Amino acid sequence: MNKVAIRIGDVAFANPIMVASGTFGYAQEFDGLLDFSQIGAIVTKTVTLEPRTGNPPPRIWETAAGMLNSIGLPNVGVEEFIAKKMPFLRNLATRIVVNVAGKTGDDYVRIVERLQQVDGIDAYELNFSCPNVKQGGMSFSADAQIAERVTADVRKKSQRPLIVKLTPNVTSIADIGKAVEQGGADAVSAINTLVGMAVDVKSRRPRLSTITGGLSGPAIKPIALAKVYELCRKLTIPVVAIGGIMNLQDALEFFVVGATAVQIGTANFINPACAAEIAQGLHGYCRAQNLNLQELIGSLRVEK
Amino acid sequence: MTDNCDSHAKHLLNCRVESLAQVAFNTYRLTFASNWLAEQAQPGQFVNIAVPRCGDILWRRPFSFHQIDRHSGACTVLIQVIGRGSEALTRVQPGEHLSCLAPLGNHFVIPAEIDELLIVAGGLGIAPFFFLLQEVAAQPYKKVLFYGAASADCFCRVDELSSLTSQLFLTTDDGSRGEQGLVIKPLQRFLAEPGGKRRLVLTCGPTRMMQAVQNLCKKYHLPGYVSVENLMACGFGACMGCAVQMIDKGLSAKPFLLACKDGPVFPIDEIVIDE
Repeated sequence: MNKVAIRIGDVAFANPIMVASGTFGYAQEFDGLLDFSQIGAIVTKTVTLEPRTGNPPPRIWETAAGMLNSIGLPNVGVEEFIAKKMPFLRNLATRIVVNVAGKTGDDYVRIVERLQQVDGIDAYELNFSCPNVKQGGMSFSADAQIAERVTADVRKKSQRPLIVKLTPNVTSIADIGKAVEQGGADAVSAINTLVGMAVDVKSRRPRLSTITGGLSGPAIKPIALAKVYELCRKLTIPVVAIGGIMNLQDALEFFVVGATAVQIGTANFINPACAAEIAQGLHGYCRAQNLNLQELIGSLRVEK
Repeated sequence: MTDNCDSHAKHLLNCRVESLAQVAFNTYRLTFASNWLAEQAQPGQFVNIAVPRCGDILWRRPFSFHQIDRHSGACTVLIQVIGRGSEALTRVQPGEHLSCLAPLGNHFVIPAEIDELLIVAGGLGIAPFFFLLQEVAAQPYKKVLFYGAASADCFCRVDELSSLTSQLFLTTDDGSRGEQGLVIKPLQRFLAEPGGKRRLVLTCGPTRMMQAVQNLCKKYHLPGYVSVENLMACGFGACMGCAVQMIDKGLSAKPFLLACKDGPVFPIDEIVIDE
């Protein structure tokens, strides 16, 4: 019996270990480095309506237990994604979640409408929270009303589960979470990167071309745990946890605070097989402890 | 002339450290064993090595293949101590294992019909050319190496390089060995003299040196290749962090390439060489 299966909307996932958008390309880059069928889902690099070239270099900087990035969502656009990337993705024995971003609310609707005509996609993740694009992205996840409206608009066009990816760069992530739940989201994923910065004293220049970027990696895990905990307490829909997960132990912590699933991000860069190893580890843990994942989720013990 | 390597070719390998030796100031030669990799690796390609025992250092560190013994399986990289990551890699012990992701990137492909191969290396930029010169040792064309360093103790394996080349020009910033000044100086003089008709220039090293080589290639209408070293989080095209700007020729719809996947070897007239 599968002790680790989960469900988001009406879609079942064989296990709750996913790979985070922007850290796994369109999976082809990882061909031969891991067994795709061992992971619960692949969340694709963001797809936009039109192709995007991304930000000028330098785009990344390594920080203590983390990294800053300002990639700027380079991607081939939805039509080429369907033509060139989907044939590989749809043949993989795992769930495919397509991450979508737009400049306007209407962009999200149009991309999802287009993707509804394509088979091999299991769910959408709406990127309301990229900190590195000048227009859009962030703003959708920083304003509860806009977030709810865009979610509701996409909901009308989507026959597939919607996961809304939230930014931690707001006063109350739970308020935004509540709003997208109202709007009809099937789950939220959190957290996207935190706005961060690094400076070269010698040249007096910022380390990134866009001055600030998104901080990820183990450095942000405690923040992610707190945000995920907050979301799990306030929301009834599943929470997909993201933020500095490097190993099974990290993943287990997020299940204990209430996450239904987790996404592995930065760790994919360092150990391309990380997500598959964590998934295998989770199977082993549940067997050894003789428990179902569902018993682990939200099992945090807090003194009253 | 450059060749995109098969994306399926890379492997995550657990390699035994064979030896570690200091070869120059602040510079070490690390040799690890992998028969498979020693068969696969091409000059210009690189290996991404995980930094051992440093939990707060995330990224692997990329190193060009410096020497490959295809028979014994010994794979060697040159490590210059820059920060804590590279420093940790110079404290490994023979017998311990390193997580190596390789081979990555494209490689130099040298057409057989050239007359002269001109290599311009600055500092640790020499790393890939030792391997390359070994691989082309039997080729009939002339091999000329312009090798600059900060001072005499910064040179790596000059005697061996001398035996692998037809002509060797050394320069140092402080004049402690070879000609004093930039490595560009002997290159300029060499190019000003009439020489082989079919020359190919390869370069790797500090940004300003590579820019100067780029300008000379343009001036003398020489084909050339540059091997870039960019920060990279993954090394295989997933993070898209190591973007290289293409020179705008008006027809390119693709303003950025990735150093790890599209490079690290690029035609010298195609990319913007920048800090």
